[in-house]
Amino acid sequence: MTSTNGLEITVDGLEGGDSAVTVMLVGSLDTTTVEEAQKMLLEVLEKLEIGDITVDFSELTYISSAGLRVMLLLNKEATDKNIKLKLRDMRQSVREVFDMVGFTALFTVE
Amino acid sequence: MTSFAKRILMVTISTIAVALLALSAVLFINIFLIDQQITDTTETTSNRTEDEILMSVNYNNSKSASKIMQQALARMISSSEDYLTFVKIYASEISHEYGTEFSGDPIEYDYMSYSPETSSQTVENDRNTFRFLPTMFEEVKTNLPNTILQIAVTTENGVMFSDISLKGLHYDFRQRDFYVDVKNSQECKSSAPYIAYSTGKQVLSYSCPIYSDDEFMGVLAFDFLFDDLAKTIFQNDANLDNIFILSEDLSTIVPVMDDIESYDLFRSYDADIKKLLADAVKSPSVLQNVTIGNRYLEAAYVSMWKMPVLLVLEFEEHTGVASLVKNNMDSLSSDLQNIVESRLFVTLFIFLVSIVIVVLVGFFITRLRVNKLAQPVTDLVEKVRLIGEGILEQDFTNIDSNDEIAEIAKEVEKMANSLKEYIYNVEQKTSEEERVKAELTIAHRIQTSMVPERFVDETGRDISVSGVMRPAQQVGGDFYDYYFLDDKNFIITIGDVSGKGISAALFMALAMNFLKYEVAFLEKDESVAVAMSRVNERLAEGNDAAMFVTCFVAKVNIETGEVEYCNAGHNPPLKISADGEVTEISNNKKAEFPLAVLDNVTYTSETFTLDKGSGILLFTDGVTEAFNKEHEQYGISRLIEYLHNTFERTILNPGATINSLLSTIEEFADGETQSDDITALLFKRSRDAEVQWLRVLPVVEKFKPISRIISEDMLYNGFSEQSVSKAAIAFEELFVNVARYSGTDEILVEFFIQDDEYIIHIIDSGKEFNPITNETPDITSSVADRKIGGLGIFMAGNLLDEFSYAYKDGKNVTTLGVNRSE
Repeated sequence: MTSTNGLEITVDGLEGGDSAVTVMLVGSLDTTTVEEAQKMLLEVLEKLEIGDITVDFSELTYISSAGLRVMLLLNKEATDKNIKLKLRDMRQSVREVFDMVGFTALFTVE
Repeated sequence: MTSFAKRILMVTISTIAVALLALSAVLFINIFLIDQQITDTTETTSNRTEDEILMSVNYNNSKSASKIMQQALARMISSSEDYLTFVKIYASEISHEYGTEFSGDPIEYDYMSYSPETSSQTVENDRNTFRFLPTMFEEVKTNLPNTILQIAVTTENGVMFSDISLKGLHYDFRQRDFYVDVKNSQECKSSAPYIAYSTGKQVLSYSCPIYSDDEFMGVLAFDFLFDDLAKTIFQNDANLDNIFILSEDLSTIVPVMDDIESYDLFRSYDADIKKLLADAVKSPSVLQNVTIGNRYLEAAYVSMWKMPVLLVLEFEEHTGVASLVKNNMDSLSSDLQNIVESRLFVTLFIFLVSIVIVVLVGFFITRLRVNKLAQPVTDLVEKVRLIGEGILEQDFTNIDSNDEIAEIAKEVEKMANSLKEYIYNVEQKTSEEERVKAELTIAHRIQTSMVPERFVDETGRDISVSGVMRPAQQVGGDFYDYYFLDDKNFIITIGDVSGKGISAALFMALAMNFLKYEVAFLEKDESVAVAMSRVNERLAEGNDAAMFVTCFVAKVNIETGEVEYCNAGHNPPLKISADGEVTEISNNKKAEFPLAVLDNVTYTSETFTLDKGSGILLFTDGVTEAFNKEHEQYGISRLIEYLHNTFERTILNPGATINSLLSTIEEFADGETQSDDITALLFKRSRDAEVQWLRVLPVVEKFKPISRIISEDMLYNGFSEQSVSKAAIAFEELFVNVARYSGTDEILVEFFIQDDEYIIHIIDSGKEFNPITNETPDITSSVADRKIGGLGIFMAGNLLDEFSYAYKDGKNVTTLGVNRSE
């Protein structure tokens, strides 16, 4: 079921000082998990001076409007810092939510 | 004593003394030799082990293997040059040392070939000029044994001389490539392998020009068998287990090791080998490798004697230093055994000869037939040897002796017999165990398929039932069953045979089928107790094993909820009422015997009514008697408590409840071995409207458990993952909204199915608020000026098939609906 899980976030590439960072979201991005996610994602953004962030959606099973808001916030902050944000490998159900609210056009979705 | 007798005694004593001395000397020498050999062998093995460990370590670094490949290639190239040099020397010898002055018989005509156009005068001249050739051919063959196939000199006049018979051949070899190449380039050449006309074998040819005073006279050519060349180069490489040289199309040219069949490799259907070869051909000169089991193969596509070939080396992988040491120790022990055995044989032989001599002398002196003593020993030795080889059928009756030898013979015979018996037993036991294991696996499958699978009453959704049977061993003595007897009567039953394993399983199959049969043939007015009595008669009759089975059968009228049941000694099932009360269904009238205990028992049935939204759990004592590590039982009170706490879900979904009950028991047992068969069956009557509800505090996080329950219920009722996902997102948005902003004390969530639509009501007593009037956000605006907010409500409206709001009796009621069909 879609909203039974919590959320795990792993960040790859930040420690090595790379300019390309990959963030992996595993589980469910909903009202209960969104606070943690927002904190972590903005932290990543803060540490990164230049380069780009790729968010791997392949293991994200559920996203609600709360989750969409975090992505929107992240996108705004990234644009301000001139950092490129890419979303990768969305599942069909998550993709449909993105499509429905027109976010697919706002983000670089791969 | 007479002097004659004394002399006989003296001769006997001295003979024996001499024989003993000789014997001692032989024994001493042999012991010395054995000791020496043991020391040598041990030392050799020790050194070898050391070397091999080093090699194994290197090998494991996987560097030495490719080093061997490099060495192999280097050797190929240098040997090719060696042979060419060799031919060059002879070509120059023909030009200088041999000459027309050489006296001797010219070559025979059978060893010459020339075209019919060549004049006989020219032929004679050349034959005379090259009259030294037979002598030279002999010399070459002495210097280059084995590998050489043919030596030939072709003159500029078109005459060919050879060391092998060319009888009947009239061919002008000046037209051939080798001749033309060498003549034009004035250099020595080696050819790519080709098929020799004379032998049909793959041949490599090395050719050099012959000059006389700077005048080109012809070509000297040596032919070598490709096979022989390759073998000469590689066969002494101890590091390799095998080498294959393959042509480009992977047809083999030569396996270098004699005892290995070449097509081992290229006929291999092993995909890894095929890939190895293909990779090697694809990238010339690049080393490829692959490990398959304990085979390690390296391949490279290289130029070998000017011909592109695949060189494949094979190494047997060393599994490690430990196994290497073990192998060498094994071989050491067998070496030592051989030494000891062979030396002992010599010793024994000399010993026997000495005995024979002593016996012969003794025979002449004392006329005693001592040799009679030796024969049984020899016989016995032979028989023991045969026993050692595994031929256990030996006849010991002809060991003609009455002393210790006879006793030893008897013991040996006993030993052979026990060996025979032992081997027979081992063979029997092994095959027996295998057979029983296989049959138990099949039996397990058969038994599992005997009880019904998960069941949902698709037509009316009036009832729902789910069962599980988990034997402690492969097969068990528990069973459960459920089926419609007719349109409105549903049968549920459970049973537990005394004991476990195969005997219990057989009895279980019998009982289950008798019961099904007798219930099916009940008259309209007969109760299930009648069927129970009949089954008891059948089982009690001829029950020599004195087994019995406890059994509970109930017939449920799915319209009225009237339950008629009969309990033959089974533990009382539990009734779970719609309000969560859990009670035992006990026999009120009288306790009944288990089936098959006594014949002529009349069983009685009892009745109760099962309300809608209530359920019955049938189970065997394996459930309540599951033990944990502290030897505590799970127990009836824990079970009742569990059902009471989860009763809402129990009535919702029997399948999920049964599964989570099993997990709960497993958790309780905490790895302790299951000691008894665990069987349980849960039956429920559905609620009328099936309106389910949950009342929670207005806490945002509460959406999650409620969402989970609704999702489970939707999936159980056949809604698609997609519908479930839509409902979940919309529910989260609206619930969170209410929890955050309404100011209510609590939130009531109702959910139910109505005309194939799944409906969720979110009801709160907070301030009046209609979420639907909320304005639609502009989803086309760019990210920078996009406002965060209103998105959730917009999404809910988009996801839902029904989305409505009402304010009545001081309460906000938001209705969410998702259709079944998508």
